[in-house]
Amino acid sequence: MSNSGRSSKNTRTALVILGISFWSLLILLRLVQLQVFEHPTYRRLASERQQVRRSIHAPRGVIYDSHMAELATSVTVSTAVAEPRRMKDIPGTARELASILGLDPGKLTRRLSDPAHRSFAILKRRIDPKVEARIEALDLDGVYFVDESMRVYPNRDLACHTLGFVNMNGDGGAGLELQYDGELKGSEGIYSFDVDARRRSFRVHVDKPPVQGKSLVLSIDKSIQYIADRELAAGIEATGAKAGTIIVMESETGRILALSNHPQFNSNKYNEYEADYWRNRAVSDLFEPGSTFKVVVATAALEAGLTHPEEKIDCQMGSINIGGHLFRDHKGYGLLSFSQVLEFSSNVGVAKLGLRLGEQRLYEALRTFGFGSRTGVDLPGEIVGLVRDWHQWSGLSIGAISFGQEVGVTSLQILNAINAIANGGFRVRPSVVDRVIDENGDLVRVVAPERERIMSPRTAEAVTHAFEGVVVRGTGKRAALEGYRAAGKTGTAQKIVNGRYSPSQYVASFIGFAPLPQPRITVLVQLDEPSRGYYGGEVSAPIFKRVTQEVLMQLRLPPDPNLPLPKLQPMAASTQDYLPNATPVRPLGSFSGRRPAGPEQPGVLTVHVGGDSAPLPDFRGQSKREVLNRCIDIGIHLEASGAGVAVFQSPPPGTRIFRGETCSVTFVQANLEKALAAAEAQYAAERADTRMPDSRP
Amino acid sequence: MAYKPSSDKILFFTAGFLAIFGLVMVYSASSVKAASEHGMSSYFFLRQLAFAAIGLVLMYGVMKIDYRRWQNPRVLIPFLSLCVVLLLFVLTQPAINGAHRWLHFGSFGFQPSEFAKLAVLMFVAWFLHRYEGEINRFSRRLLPLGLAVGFFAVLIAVEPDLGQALCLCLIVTVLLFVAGLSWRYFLGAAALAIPAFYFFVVKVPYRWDRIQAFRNPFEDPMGTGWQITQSLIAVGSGGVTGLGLGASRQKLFYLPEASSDFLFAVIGEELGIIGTTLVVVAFLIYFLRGVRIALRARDRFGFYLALGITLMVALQALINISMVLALMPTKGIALPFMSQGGSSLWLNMLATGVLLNLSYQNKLAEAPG
Repeated sequence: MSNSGRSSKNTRTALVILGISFWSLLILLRLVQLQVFEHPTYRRLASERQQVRRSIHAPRGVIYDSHMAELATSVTVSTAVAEPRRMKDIPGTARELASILGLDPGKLTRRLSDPAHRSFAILKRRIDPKVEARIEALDLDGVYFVDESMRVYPNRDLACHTLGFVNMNGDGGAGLELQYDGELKGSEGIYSFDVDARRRSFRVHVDKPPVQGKSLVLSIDKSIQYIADRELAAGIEATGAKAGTIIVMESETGRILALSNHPQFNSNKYNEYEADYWRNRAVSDLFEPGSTFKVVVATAALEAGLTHPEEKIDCQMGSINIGGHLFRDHKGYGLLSFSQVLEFSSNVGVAKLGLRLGEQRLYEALRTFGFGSRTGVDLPGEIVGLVRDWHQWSGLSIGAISFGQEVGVTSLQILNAINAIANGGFRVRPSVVDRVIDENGDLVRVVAPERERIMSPRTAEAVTHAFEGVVVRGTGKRAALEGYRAAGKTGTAQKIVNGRYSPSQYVASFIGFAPLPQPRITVLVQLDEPSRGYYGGEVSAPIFKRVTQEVLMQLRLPPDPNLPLPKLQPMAASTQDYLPNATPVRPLGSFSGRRPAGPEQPGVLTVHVGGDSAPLPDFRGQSKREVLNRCIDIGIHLEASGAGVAVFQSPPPGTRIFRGETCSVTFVQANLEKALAAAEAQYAAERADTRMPDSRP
Repeated sequence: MAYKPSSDKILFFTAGFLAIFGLVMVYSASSVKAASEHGMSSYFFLRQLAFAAIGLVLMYGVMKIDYRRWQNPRVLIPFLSLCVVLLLFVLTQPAINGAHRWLHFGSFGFQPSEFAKLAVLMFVAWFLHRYEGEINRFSRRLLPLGLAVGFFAVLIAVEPDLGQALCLCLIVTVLLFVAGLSWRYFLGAAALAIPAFYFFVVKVPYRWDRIQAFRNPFEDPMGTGWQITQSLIAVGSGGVTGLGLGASRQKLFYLPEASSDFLFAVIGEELGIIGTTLVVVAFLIYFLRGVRIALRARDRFGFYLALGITLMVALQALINISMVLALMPTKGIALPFMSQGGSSLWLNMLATGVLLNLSYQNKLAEAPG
């Protein structure tokens, strides 16, 4: 063994140590690369593979009336969907499905065979629970159900223009549903399943909890809204008018108690109506106000001290020439007091007051009343109206504008102007939503009334006096109430057709308030193109009377002791027919417009209960949809409150209940765990063929 | 006070640390699989614990045997013969995952190839000691040695367990290099390796797939790139501190062989770069202590035996880790001391026992008086 050999071996041993050390260093560098620098990338890759993310539906808030009756609520409905690639026999399955769902078998077969729909095709949305049960019983491969939320308006047409509707995507499409969409909708939550490589989930966690939508409590009173709807429909019927509007406003605050437009639509099946029906005419349509507008000149002239209530004004036997144009009264008057000018609605008298004011002051007055700007009501689609600046007025404008021509206003604007008289001189901001609450009923915010004084109380009192004269002696006698004092103003405006005032098309209106001396409500009744009579005092005033009379009684205001007692008794029986003891959720058959034409089509409420009465089932723990179905099955009405899972019912379970009776059930939001458990079960059913390989040799 | 020589404590504790750390990680990595296959999450852990206990006894026993006994032909020849018989016998056993690697005693599988490696290392150490300085004589010395080692390598390779066979060849090659084998042979071997690579790798589809997967794992993450992709995701998602002990998600059937060949990936995922670095450093310490023992050996047999054992542990560790980190194509090589499996653990502990005896003998020789 030579020394050189030994040292060479030591060199080689050193090389081996060096090599191993170098290799270790390389590994350490690689670890730094993977675990420090590329860590975010791998973390993302890991969560993409290890987790399945799903969204959690956030229930949309409820819209309540002022007495917490549900005007709009959400229920969960099933949508039948297909995964054709998992169907063994597409034509056969399609035939079976088509017969149950009421679809065309040929078309369905073609759709399911389309490669574009291999993994997903919607069969039918919003299917009946009974239809769902029948399909489930067939146990077809590749057919399953997805829960979807459906907006339900238990009172159908009631307050449709105020409420609006929710479209298929779950977005508010009109009315309050649109205006408050952000608050009503809430935000979807996200949860994820941790899954193993065999795609089995073993843990569920909520990444982002769903934020339930806020609920709205309106100033709208369902009973008052009903009165307005009913009387408007009756008035339209009686006068042959094309359209119409009734608004009932709380005089002091501007809170709207009812807003009714005709024609109406059923919010549950909004898409079966032309878009024209959805429009809230009260805030979106422009018209010439006519005589109701005289309130502006009368008020401004009093405020400016240019007249006083007892002043005699020469009405020149019914004609006046302004700017080369002859304006006429419908009847020639001589000397009329200020009040009489309004009572008899003399154009000449008002025009003379307008001339005293002059263009600029008249313009400022009408802007002060809010014409030419939005009222600020919390409804979408409100327009500003049409008020030209006084510099652009022609010579005859001052006359025309004085009695409500040459200007464009909305029903709500003119109502708001008259309301300033009713409440003693305040312009208010009209509102529909009273407060926003959360799912527990806790207050989120209150919509505070806003108002601004625009005239002295004395002026308001003088105009009120004149307006009472309108009802007592003047053009609005048919608006007189029984047992209450009322005041108001008639209006009859010719419509402009093809640039000219039409001789036969009118807008007839009456705007008034009651009861004097402390008005509680201000009411607008407006008919568009009535064909049997056209004066506001003739066609609109009687409707005002019926609506106001009934609303005052509804509000339980004592009649004026100085007047004869009203003949009408509070709450007409017909109201109760229509509103079956506050039954917000009507049985499904009454609002579902997309019911399949299958053999089991329950077009109307069907009663399956054998005897006269049946023991009431225990609804607790069931969803609103389940409870509703049971109620339909046994033929009873459901009065539902809240959303989620049933926790309380009245009468209690086991009570014998007769069909047609009402059971009230309180629902609370189901806890998240339950929802997740259901979602997980659904996921488990879907996962089967999305498996990854376990390992390879 | 009398000087009382002892074996290398650092080596002992390093090996012990690796074995215990391995046990913990095997428990974590295998629990889900154990629960799903055996209804008991500690099934594989308890087995491994039993193996470790037996391994400890074996190591202690071997530690007490003078290492020079292993060069005695009366010990070495029967040991080698037994290995040959077992390696031949194992080929007759039913295949598991397409390979005849295990001899079965009840539910326990025993891999003769592991023990054959130790036998071959003892033989090579004896040979290099016996023919020190003559290794470059091709036909008289190198060829016979090559044929003998090659015989064992082939027996292992036909199981098939190419990884183990190549690993054995690599260790012996490094030993020959240290023994002074001329550079000419390395050049020659390189020249031969190219056609061999072509016929044994390029032409064998599943091996070639692994090479492809190694080069571009994310090209076919659901197919050939599956193992490497999942392994990288495990290590990479662990980051600096890891997801926490027991919190691996990749062990949920994403990682194939999470508790054996890919245990290091689970360590990376659960304990982050702290855990992985600790393992690499522990193996490096083992290697450096082993080399130190080799260099202090009283004779050339001890030198080559110590170096061979050290290289066996270190090279397998480096290869396994490189595989997990996609620095090398995947090949079934276990992580010494740590991976689940009794044979591998026993071999490593036995071999460490031999090393510890070497260190004891070295100190005994150095001891004053």
